[in-house]
Amino acid sequence: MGKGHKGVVFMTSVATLSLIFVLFIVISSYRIVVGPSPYDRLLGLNVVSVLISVIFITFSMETEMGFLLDIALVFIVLNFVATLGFAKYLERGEFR
Amino acid sequence: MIIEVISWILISFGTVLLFSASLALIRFADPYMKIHAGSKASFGGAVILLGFLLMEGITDVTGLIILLSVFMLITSPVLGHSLGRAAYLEELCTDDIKKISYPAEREDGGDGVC
Repeated sequence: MGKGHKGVVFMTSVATLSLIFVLFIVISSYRIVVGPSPYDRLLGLNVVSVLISVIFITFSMETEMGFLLDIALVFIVLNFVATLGFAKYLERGEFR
Repeated sequence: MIIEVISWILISFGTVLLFSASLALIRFADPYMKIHAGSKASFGGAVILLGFLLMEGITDVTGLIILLSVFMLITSPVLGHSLGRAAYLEELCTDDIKKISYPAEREDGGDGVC
């Protein structure tokens, strides 16, 4: 990755973007806490996981640390497997 | 310069998509509407990744960014389908769907969730 071509404006904008995503996480966590059905809670967890992954990506673009993209990829994969497992469990009543 | 403007437009569009998904999670009524709206959050993340990809150009993390974007686009419909199918097999909030599809099978009274 190129060195030193990112100015103060870019870093400030991306940091502001990360703060906006944190606000979205706070909004989505409402559905996890007071969701009436388990599907609402799982969906809120899915959206929060996507937002956390996007925060990892923006922080990686800001600081040019490439390994954060690996962490974001693993986060997305684990979210996919966990949500699918819970949905199958709620559908069938047992893990199969 | 024009590529930078296009990438910022893409990032803003993805942020708007993520905001609408978060707002729909707290505003919509039954789980199917929320699943419909929450599946769009991954699309917003993919659009933001496309914007960062255009801004960075070809670097050594380009393949990883494309892989993340494709994986976000693939897994979101699978999760939405699985959650919606599990909620429908439990017959959660299906009175409205039955009213639309089969008006004769409409039952009175919900289950407190809808």
